[in-house]
Amino acid sequence: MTDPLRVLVAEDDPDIRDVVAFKLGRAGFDVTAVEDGTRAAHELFGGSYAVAILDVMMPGLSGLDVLASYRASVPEGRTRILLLTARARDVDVDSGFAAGADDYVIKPFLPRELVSRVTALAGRA
Amino acid sequence: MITARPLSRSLKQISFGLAALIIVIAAVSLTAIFLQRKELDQFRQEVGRSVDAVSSLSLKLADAQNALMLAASTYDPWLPRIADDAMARVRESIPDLELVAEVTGSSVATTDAAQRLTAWLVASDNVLRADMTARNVASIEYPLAREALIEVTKELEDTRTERRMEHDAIILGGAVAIGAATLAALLLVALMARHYVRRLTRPLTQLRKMVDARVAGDLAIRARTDQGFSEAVRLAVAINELSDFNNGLRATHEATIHSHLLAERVAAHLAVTGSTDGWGRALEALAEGLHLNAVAVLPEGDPSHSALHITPGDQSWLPDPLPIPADAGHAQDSPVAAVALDLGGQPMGTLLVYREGGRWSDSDAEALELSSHHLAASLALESVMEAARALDEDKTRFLATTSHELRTPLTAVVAWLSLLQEGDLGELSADQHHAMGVVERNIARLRDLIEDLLTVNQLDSGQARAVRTHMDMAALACRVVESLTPMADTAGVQLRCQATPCDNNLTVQGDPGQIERAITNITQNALKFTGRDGRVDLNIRCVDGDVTLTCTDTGIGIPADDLPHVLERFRRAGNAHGLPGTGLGLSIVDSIMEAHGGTFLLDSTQGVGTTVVLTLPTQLREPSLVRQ
Repeated sequence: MTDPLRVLVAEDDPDIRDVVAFKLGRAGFDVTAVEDGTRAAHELFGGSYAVAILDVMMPGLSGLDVLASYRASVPEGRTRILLLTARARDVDVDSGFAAGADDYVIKPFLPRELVSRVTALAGRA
Repeated sequence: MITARPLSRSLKQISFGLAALIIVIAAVSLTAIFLQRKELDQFRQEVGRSVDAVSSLSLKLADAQNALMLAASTYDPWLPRIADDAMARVRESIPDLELVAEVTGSSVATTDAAQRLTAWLVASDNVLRADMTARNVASIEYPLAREALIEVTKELEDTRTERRMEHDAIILGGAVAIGAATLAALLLVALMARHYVRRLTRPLTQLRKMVDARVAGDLAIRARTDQGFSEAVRLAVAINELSDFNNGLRATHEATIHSHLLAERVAAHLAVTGSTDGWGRALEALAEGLHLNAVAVLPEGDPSHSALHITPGDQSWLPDPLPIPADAGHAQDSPVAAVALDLGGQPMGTLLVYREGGRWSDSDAEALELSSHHLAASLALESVMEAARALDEDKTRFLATTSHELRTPLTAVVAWLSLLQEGDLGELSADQHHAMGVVERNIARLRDLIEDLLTVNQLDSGQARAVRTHMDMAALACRVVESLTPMADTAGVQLRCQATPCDNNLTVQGDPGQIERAITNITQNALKFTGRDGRVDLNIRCVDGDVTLTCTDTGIGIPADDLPHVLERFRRAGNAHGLPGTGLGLSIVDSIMEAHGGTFLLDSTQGVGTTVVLTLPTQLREPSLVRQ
């Protein structure tokens, strides 16, 4: 039995953060949940996460900012990044991939679907 | 001041002079002839009288000689008295010879004749005194006297002939003089005519050449005013005045054209609305066209009254304080001129122009006036557009924020709901499941509404053409059909996708997300309004270089009254109530088609079904071109 894979969840809305953390925990991941971009960056740069789920729209640093600075500062970093986007515009998705995202999930989403995407990303890690 | 002589006066004087000359010559000649004739007649009478006198003397002499000879031969006492009487008659007539002498010009012949007669008379007197020797002398003197008289007669004849010849010569001379004078006059007239015609035509020819040159474009050419008759000079002066007037007119006309062209150029630059470049170029054009050092536009209603556009950047020339539009106007020599910019009486701002030294002409004023209309209109348009842009931005931002803000709670609801439904939080009873189903269905409707609103907003704000890639319409449509098959199965509707291959592989250009959305919308609509055991068919094929997608259903159709309104937002057909929907679906499809240069066609019969045809060009054209 190996250690559970670590997943970082960065989401400012506590209700969404809780449900995501709950569902991922149920799926057997070791979940760390934070409520803003600054903490997300701190965690991401410090810890060895298999997957990080970043909400694009967060107060302070946005998910895209965190993603961009992570990819720029830690080019050898192996953490897979999944963006949660409100899909305000298609360009959000494009700029997300351009910044180095591995996948994205559009809100509103089903927790089940999110878990399966995270599992897939973790499997590729 | 014209110093040249007029041709008309010269010609008049010449004609008068010539006529007078001819009349004088003719009068003198005719008078001479007339006098000559009269003198000749008188002379002829005198000669006649002289001839009579000489012949009478000759007869008297013959009578006296006969009487003398008779008296000498016969001693009749009466005979000497008779002879003496006859001799007295001869003696009395001798003075007649003086008259004859006058006629002949005291010729030798008359003197001689008088002496002969006197000699005869002396001899005859002696005969009568009975001097017998005298008889011989008288006999000798008599023929001599006769011959002398004959000689006088001859001389008279000669004189008459001479005088006639003289007279004829005088008459001939008169006639020749008249002819010569007339000929000379005619020659003079011809020469003068030639001279005057030359003097007249030379300046006229020059004037014609000058006018020709002017017509050919030499506006500076002037007619010479120092040659020819006063008429030609006056004509030249008039033509020069006309040329000056025309040059002035031309200059005014050119200035007007220049003003209009300048205003048009300003307008053309301003037509690039919403661009500061347009303003800059318009003001630069104005500055260049009017040789201005700088231009500024002060918008009305700006509390700081700061210049909106200035060319060039140096603002030191701007008057302080800045004039308010009511003061607009320009003094002739003030370097700064202000023109009020107003549109239909509504003040829009002030145009300030700066030129060192001022010297504003009427044409400058006209150009500024014409340009000011365009500038005012542009200011008005700009403020309206600015307001509209701000409003549109507000709306877009509002909708984006709203949809995001709506999505966040929705996301939490959906997520937690699924935990409940999936039994993550404990098993649910059948009633609880049903309740969750109702909640889920209504959340889905809410989500659709938010998505539709967001899409409409995106399409309205012009983000629709952001993505342009090539895509296979058939593949796209069949993927939509595949994803909607569960929905069709639930509704008991047969859903099919069929593509007819063609040369371009049914490829279109555009935003795949939006095209997919359009196909999804019409297919979902078809499924929604088609009852159990109905059919929905999607056919994709090429038509005239375009790709068309036809979606045919056997649903409830749309009432004829509602057909014209299917594309209106939030409008739903009368028979659609009770079925879920936002009333935005078809208007979104139409907007997407328009953004891609395609067309949207819908035909429906209530109770029979609906057919929707989407047509997209294989190469994306500009929507504006397609719509024309």
